[in-house]
Amino acid sequence: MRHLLTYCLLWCALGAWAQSRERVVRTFHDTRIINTQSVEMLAPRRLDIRIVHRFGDMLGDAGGWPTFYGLENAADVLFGFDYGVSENFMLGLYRTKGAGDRRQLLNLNFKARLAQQRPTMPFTIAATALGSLSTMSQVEGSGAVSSFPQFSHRLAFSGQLLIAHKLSEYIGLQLTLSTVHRNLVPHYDDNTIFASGLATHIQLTKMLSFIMDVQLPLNGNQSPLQTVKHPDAPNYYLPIGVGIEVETGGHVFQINLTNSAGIVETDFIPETTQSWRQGEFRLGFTISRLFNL
Amino acid sequence: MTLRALEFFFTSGVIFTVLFSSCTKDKLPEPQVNSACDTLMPVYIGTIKPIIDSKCAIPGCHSAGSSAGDFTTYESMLPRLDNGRFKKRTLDQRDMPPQGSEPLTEEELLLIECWINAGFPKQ
Amino acid sequence: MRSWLYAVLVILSIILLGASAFRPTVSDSEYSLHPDTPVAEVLERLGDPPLPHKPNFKLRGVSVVRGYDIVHYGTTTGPDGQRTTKQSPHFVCTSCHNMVREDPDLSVADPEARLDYCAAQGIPFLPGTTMYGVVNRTSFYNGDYEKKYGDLVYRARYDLREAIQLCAIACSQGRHLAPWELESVLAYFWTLQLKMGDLQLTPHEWQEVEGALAQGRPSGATIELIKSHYLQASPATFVPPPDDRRQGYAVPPGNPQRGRLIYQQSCLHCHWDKRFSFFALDYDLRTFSFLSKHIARYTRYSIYQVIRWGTEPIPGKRAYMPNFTLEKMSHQQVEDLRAFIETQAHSEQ
Repeated sequence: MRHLLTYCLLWCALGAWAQSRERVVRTFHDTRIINTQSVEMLAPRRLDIRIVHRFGDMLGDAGGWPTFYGLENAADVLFGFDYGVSENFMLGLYRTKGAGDRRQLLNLNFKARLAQQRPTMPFTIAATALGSLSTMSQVEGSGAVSSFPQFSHRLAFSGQLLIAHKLSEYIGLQLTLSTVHRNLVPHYDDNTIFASGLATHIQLTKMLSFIMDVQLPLNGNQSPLQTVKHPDAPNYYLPIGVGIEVETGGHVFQINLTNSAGIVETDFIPETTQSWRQGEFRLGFTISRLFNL
Repeated sequence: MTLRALEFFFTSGVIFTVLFSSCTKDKLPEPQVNSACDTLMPVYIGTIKPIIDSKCAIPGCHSAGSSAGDFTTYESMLPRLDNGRFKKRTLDQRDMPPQGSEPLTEEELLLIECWINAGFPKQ
Repeated sequence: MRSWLYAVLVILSIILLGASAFRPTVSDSEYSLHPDTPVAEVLERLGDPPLPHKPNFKLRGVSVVRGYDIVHYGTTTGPDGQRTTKQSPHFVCTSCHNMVREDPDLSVADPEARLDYCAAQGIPFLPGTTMYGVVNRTSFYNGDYEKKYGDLVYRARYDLREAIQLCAIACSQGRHLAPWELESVLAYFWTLQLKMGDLQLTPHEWQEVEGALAQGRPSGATIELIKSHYLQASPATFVPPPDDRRQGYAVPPGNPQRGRLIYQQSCLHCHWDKRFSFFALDYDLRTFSFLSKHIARYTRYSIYQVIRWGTEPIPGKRAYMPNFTLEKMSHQQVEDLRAFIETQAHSEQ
């Protein structure tokens, strides 16, 4: 019994010694969770080619058997890459289809890690800044956002503060504080939306983990906190996503279910009009592959 | 911080300053009901249906049983009229009928606009 | 009478002068031996042929600092001011080789003693031999490495430059080094050469060496004495996994404490946070369960499989895992690691 105790203490001490020296890494396994970005960064000179796909509504009016539960439609698609510039800074460039009023989007994303979790620091903190440009042809005289009276009306921006904590080897949590600004919005909408969100990562087995992500808009018609809505505004719902991540070595493959159709922040935070309850959720997947440059 | 990282921070700062300096806070004006719609009061049967049949409910597109939406009858079109997607694609984004298909003429667009504003009556 | 004396003196001085002319080594009776004296220098003074791989500083851009950069980071700033491309997209030299002393006794290759020494010094326990003292060795890619690299080892066996290039192409899966890069790496390795203090000579042996140096004559026996205190060539014996992977090797039961040391100093050097491998390892229960499940299998996740055979490169992924020869990890150590993994996997059940 005495020997057992000694062994245990020795193991614990060695383990603690080994781990306390280290910064906490791999709170999440990928630079994005489902909709929201995570605090993970790419190592320097690492290129991550990424394809994200959101299928059509699974059930509801546009779903069901006729569209093979949404698999025959694409609500949004992202092609692009992320590049690790340094240990704490990465940039990304993506083309997305767009699921809201603005389509054919070119997005430029910057992410910087401000702090990393270690015994003296409880959180990993990162900040992102995204600029989104709609390259669709101007639709003159339509009275919709796509009429783009000025060029700057094609732009939308998003800034996020991501605060994550790795609770244990197999659970990570992240708090996301976002702001989305669209230069031109319909008459019933607000240009600047603030949102807060939560995301989690739970390791199930060595290769498989469970992820979940939810955003809560804090102002505007999009927010459940605002009781008075503009009569012309459509019904908005919280973007909620659940998914499974599979580690396959050079890839992280993710398959998920989410109600929001848009992929980038300027799309899904202010323009999620799809409801889980009405079956307007969809299958989505992400494939990403890392290259050493 | 390496020199390279500093360079990138600086470049990205410049890019973002340029982008953000084009920040505007505009809203679209309240949609005005087209004054032409005071006189035009189209209904589905007779006026709108021929347009849909010739330009939308054609083979390969929104024909009977199509997964993209069956536009052959009023009832089958109703869901997309109710949720605003018909209006969005034909009037706001103008990407339906898609490129390659015969587009809607100005006259037809006006008829559809007035029909939708009037609550898309059947007859 | 005086003329006879003069003649004898003249003849004696001629004889003595003639004799001194035939002494091949410089008679420097002021030369003193310190623990910091390089071994190669002492051997040369004792008549050993000089080692063939002295760096060529005449080439433009050759420097110890650049050699250090290449070895530790894979890239450096060339003589033209441009940063060189990475030697390998997958590895740097320090992925598999230490740059400091890793054995308590340089004359034997004993993995058990090395593990204790590495753990005490806080250095990784790696499959490649340390570069500390590599310039003092005369033979490379020894023993069973011929099985792995075939004909490629012949040029590299007795030529350190060729050995470095073979490593650059084959082991690191990278590019050849340019001549100035190669000489810079050599220049850096020469700063890691063995010193007399590393050899742990007894006081009697020390006196013998001092005596031989003072005599100023070539001394084969002393050269042999010095060389017996460190390995001229790192032995390499490839061994297979145990016949019955469930039973394991026929050695005493594994010690999980020792196994934890191996996991920490050896496995996690490459596998922590996917540092040099696509397969991340950590202290999570799920990781130990996974490893434990695969031990007896023939997959690339079986510790027996990867330690003794290594893995092969897969297109698109980080390059392969090198195998541990018998001299780099003993059967007992493999069983210790197994015991640690199995204990951890079942610890919360």
